[in-house]
Amino acid sequence: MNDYANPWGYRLQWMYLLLVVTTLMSPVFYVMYVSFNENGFGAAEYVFTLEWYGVIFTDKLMMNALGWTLSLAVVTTVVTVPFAVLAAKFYKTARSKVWVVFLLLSPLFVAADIFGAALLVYFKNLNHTLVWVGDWMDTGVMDGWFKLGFTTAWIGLIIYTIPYAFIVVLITMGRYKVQQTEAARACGATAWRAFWDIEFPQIRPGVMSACAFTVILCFNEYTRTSLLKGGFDTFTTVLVSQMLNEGMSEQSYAMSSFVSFLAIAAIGSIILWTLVRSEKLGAEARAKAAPVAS
Amino acid sequence: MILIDRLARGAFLLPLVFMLVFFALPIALTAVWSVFERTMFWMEPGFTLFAYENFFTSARLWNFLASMYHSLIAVVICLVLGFPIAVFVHRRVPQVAQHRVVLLFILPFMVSEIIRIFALRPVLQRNGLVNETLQYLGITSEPITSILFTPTGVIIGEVLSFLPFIVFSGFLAMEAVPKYIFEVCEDLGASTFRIYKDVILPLAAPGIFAGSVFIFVNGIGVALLPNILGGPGAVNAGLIATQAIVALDFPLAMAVSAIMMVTLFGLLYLGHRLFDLTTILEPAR
Amino acid sequence: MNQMEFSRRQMMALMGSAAAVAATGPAAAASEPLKLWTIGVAKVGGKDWSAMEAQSGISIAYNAKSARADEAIQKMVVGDGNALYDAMSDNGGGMEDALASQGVIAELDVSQIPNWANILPTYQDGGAAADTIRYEGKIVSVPYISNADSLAYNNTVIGADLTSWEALFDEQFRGRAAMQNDFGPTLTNTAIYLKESGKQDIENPSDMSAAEVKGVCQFLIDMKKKGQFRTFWDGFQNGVDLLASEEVLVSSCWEPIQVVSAKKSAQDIRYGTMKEGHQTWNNMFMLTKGGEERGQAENFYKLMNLYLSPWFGARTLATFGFTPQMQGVNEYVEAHPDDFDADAKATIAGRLANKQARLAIKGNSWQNVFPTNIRDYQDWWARVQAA
Repeated sequence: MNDYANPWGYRLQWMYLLLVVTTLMSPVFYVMYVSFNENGFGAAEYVFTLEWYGVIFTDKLMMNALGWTLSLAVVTTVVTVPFAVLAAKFYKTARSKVWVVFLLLSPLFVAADIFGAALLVYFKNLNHTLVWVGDWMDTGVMDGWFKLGFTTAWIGLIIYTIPYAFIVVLITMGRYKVQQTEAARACGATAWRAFWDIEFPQIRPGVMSACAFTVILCFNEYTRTSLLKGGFDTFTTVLVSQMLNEGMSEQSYAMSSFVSFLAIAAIGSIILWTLVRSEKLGAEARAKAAPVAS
Repeated sequence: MILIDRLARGAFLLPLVFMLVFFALPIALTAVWSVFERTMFWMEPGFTLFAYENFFTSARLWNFLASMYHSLIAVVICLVLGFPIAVFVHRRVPQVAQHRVVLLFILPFMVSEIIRIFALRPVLQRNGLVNETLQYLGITSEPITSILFTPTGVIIGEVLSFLPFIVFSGFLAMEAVPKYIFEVCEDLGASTFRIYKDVILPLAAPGIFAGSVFIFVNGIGVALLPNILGGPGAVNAGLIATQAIVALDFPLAMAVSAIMMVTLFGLLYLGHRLFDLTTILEPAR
Repeated sequence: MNQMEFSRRQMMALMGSAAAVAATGPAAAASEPLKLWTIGVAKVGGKDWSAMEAQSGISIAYNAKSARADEAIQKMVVGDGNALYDAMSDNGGGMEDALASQGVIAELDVSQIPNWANILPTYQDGGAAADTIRYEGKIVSVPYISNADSLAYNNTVIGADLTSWEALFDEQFRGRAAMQNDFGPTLTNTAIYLKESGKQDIENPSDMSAAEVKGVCQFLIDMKKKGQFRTFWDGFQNGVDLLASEEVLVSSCWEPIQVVSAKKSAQDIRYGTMKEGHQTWNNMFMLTKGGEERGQAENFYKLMNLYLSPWFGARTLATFGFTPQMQGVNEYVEAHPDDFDADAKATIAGRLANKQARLAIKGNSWQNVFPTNIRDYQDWWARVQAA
């Protein structure tokens, strides 16, 4: 800190930051609180129980939905993150950067319902066109390609998550010094080896963050998935369907809290690990710099 | 080798082609579909402006505009509450620790948005947390009913849902402001207000603008917000489109989408002319 | 290409699968679970479907469905509902006609359902509700629940019993009233009130003309501007929450909402009998053409037998407050004292009695999911929402 810094200003601003984070997290904590209540959400009486967490794993509907959500999240990440890396590298060398940015970031600016609506109509029409072409060519192999189902939900999620992954990867790449790739190429490495052995280890944290971010986004996405999926249920669509028709079951709250616990544990451990690591490195550096005690 | 080379080069274009085919094209086609004729369960190719006429003459236009207005208020509040945090993190928190703080703001996304929004009900309702606390502290004697099932409730929901995005984009935007600037300004005796007005805002403008557009568009697009927190019959553009689909009036849904696209791209174009938005991703160092 | 026509591809696929099914025989199909597309309140006996499976002797693959009419049409006629689902449920009186006319559901052979003999007389040929499960005189669906929707009110806070829809629009409940965020039930209920109280001339509250819709909506806009409604509820959870949290004191809603909110809030929330009339409806199950082709008819009939048995009837009445569709519920309850204690028996008897009272009102009107002037309904509803 410099001469002008006001220590009290610093503390106040930290407190404000933490206050905002706590307020933002309060619904999460409230859901956790409800998940332990035997009587469920909004009940007059509160009875503590762990019953609902046990029910999660026997609730076929919930487990099924969770399975679908997980598989969607995994396949989306497998496509989105490499796409983001490819696009980031292309962006670095592209001449007309505006169009690349525009194309890749515009899904951020399209509202969920509009996005889902447009893609829904597009897939339906695409399906009809393919069926018609298939009739003409006397083949049925293309009939099911774009029927509303896993594939369409998958495509929708890829488009939804690419902007986030792209931004994360691009920022990480910003800290990478391009001269290293040049040096590697000069030493005779192919482009792929220069990337995989030199660049990738350095951007790995960013890529990992992009993966984590993508999985989380897929997990919590509702609107686009509900419009584009076919007959199966995902975690969020089950929640909303329950909310609309019979009230959210108590195990839904338990499930959401469970997912939140996992996620908080994951992020919390990342934070702690980097904290500990930087402390350790700092201690090592100080030890090296300290005069030898005689 | 040439073929592999070509293939490898092609691979770089793959994401862009994908986005063109599955995103840009559908969005562009909404304009085409919005002039199709409506049939009982789908639509037929044709040319009719009935969907647009319906939109502009029924009360839906007013709902659309009202939701834009409320979203704008939410954007302003988010900026006021969230941008200072981004400045603070950039300036005072050591570089290595910055991403940790940003991670903290990802935490709210751990819970799906439906639950997050629904969980605001027991907080804002007549005998909810806010009212109970205020009455307990003696600040009010009657419950405040205007914070839920009103546009205010929707704005509160929007702010709480989208505040992290302003922190993220503000953070990105601040990358364009080198740290030494603050010292320089303070050496010259500038007040905080002047530093913000003359230095930070102009440099961080692209990022702020992008973040604002993001919140604005999502505010008018997320159907859940007015559905759960809004008053009788509250809707926003997203809900109008969803309701149109549910009613199997696809041309109308496409018309609403097309109008939103035009609004959005108009804003983005304006922003690009004013600020050159590509600088968000290439911060000055 | 007109999307309503079967494409050659689909026709060959259907014939192919029919041949394949015929070749493998019904035995193979019977072991497959029945793919059921229905709402959550269709199941009783626990938090999942295992009790229903045990009682009916089949295995069930449940898919969640919303209560919205349009979703069903979209999926079955335009989408791939026939491939995805063997059986589905929806509102009687409109949906079965629409779906049967598009050829996506199968005609039923009720001789395969032993319990059909116990069905409420009103569904037999010539009965008042016979039309709600038939298309062109042929039975295409099996009803499993029905009701006459009324007003739920918080007796603990209000201190009196409400017997008229007037209460919903009355000044004393300004800002504490709610209606459903769906033009069908809300406009019909309001129309019933306006017609029977003489405030507006309406011929058929279930199928109004454009001018009548306008009148009803202007009344609602007026009420809305005066701040009468706290909100329009959308979804079961919302409905329950509003009443249970005392956010609203009177709400036009489904009976299960009243049942659950009373239980949750430990307040005396009652379901009234309105002197002007109620919106009556039923929900019924249909066998999809795809399900028939896949040989699931046998499983379907077994499940329908369960739905028409007093085992289900007593439980749906006790848990949700829906009307059982068969006779003999009271006798069943008497015969099974282990399953129904004194409290449950009293509740069941009370609800049945209330339902009789509601059904006896002259002004009742059937829920119509496809009114003739549906576009006027939608347009005017948009105006109510904007007001």
